[in-house]
Amino acid sequence: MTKKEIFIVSAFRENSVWRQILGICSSLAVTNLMMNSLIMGLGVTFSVAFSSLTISAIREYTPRSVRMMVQTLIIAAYVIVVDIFLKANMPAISKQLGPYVGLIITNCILMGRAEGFAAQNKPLDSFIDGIGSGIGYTLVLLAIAVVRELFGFGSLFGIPILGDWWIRWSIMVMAPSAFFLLAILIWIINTKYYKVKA
Amino acid sequence: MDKTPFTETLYYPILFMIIISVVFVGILAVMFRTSEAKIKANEDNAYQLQIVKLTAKTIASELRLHESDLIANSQDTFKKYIKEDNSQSRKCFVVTASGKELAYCYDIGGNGLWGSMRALVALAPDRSTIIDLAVYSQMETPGLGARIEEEGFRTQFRGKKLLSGDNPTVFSLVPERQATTSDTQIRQITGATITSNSVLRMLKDEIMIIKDQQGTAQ
Repeated sequence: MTKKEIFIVSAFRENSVWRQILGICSSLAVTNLMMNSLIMGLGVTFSVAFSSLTISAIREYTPRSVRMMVQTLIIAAYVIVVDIFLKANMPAISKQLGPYVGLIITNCILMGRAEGFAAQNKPLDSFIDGIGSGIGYTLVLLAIAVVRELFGFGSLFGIPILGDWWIRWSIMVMAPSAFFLLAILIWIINTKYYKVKA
Repeated sequence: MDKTPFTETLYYPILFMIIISVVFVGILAVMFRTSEAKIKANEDNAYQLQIVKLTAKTIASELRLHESDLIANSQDTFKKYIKEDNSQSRKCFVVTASGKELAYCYDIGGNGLWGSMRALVALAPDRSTIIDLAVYSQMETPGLGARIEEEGFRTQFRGKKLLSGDNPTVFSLVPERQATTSDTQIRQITGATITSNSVLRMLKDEIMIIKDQQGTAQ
């Protein structure tokens, strides 16, 4: 596979969220605002790309018996880097995302990419694969957040779009709406692009 | 007798794990140490800015300055006019300008629906009239209970007296879109009755603690 193909496969064709149904919890939790979703998506992209790169670089020296521990440790280290960076440079967003930044560690996408791709492929390919799956995840987050922020707050990225006449839908602000929206998104994509049999 | 290579022995995974742990923990420790001061400063600044925002109007009207200038230079304002009073059981900041004590800003806390909340309340020198109130840390439902941080809810408390005589004022809630008919009514947040009540309860409990402390101090 060429580098471009790796990217397209991991970001779209085998997208972690709509194809592999991974990373669902955070897709539900942080998607009530566009800005939070974007920062969360970038945080995941950074963590998954660099953890894949590192895991791939040391894959030949890693003993099989402890490889999962090593992967978790590397992922945790990069996630803490993101957390510290946000706390130091973007305190407002760090406060809004709260515990979810730290919880990137438990995001299945990272472990999935580490085990499924980085453990068997070259460092650069793994890095591109990580970027791809991170971007795929970010796209899903943003797609859900567009709907939730617009209907729930009447704004996008905090800029008011709908006027005062708009009655905010409280359901969109709460977690259950993300369940519906994510399901609808997966349904549309599956029927449109994957020809799923009923 | 054939010798097994080192990488196949039991010691290799252990050694590998130790090396990896030391390297990554080391990187994180360095990274944390270098940004620790910045993180602490961010937190302190946000906290001081909050206090300045609550009391800027009072300082401005006393000294005939502009409120917005005081807020824009919040760190200078804080240094110049606000001092922490360590003699209180609640964290208390005394606002002094032209030799007069203009306001007291208390750090108070209570329980909300999902967890604890903390607020800053600026009181006039009578330690009963609210100058301004802001909840700065809470765990309420975003979009519902979390709206206690919004202007629409918190500015209602301006000018309200927390004490009527020796007892705490009993506030009551009215629906969000209804007009208030008396000084003791607060428009609640729709869908967050418990959170709205929690704010009232926090104020009621904390004002008695503040008052009792004053009683013993004098």
